Amino acid sequence: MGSDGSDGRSAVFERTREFVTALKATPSIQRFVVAQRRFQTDPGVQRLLADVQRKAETFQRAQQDGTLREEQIREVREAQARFYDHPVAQEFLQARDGAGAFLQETNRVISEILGLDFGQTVGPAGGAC
Amino acid sequence: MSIGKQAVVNGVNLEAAALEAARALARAIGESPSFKAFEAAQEALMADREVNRRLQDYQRRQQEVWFARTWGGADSAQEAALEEEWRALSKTPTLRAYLRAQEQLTDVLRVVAGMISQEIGIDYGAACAPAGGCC
Repeated sequence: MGSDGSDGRSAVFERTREFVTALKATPSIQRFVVAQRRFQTDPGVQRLLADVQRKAETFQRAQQDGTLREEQIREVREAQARFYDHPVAQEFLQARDGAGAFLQETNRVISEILGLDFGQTVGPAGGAC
Repeated sequence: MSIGKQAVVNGVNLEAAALEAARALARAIGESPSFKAFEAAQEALMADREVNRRLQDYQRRQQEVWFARTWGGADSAQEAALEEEWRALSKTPTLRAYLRAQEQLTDVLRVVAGMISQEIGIDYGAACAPAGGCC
């Protein structure tokens, strides 16, 4: 137990909240938040996304069953192309890359001070398979 | 100064402020009991020659088993012996303390990352450790 009676975590969480506030004020995160909201609420781009997912599932099933036809491969590719051509999808993906790049920069700063890779430690694969 | 230039300057300042907040967060983590306990456990582990020797030996044997598995020459007795050695190793006080401290620190770091991810709508760990570095 730390001196603040919460094993010192409250100071960490307080700094985390300050970091989040500062992050949300940066152009790259603001751009991403706007782009994500548009992406999630735009019916046109959501329809194209659902179409890609549906065709990709059909493709995978056919591949497993050994009934894959060339036409199905073409259909997936065309659906993907329609999705990637949509300006809202393009803006979302670009904004996500930009936000990701800035988050990586913050991770470098944090990891350097701690002497361990913060992102890797909390990452999905946890560094091991 | 033009409006466009002003916006760029503001953006740079805001990024610098976010990086400074990241440093403050890292310092707070560094001063937290969980981190200090982890550092102490790591030092104790590195100072424990006997456990270190066994760990190195364990890692060497583990690699041999991986190779054997890859090339289809897996020896189940060897694998079982390796598992047994890990069970024995993780019962040694220094390694057990290290693993516990590491787990507790990771718990705190996961909560921190979770707070960030939830607020900004991007998985911080996934964004910073693309493809998890392996698999």
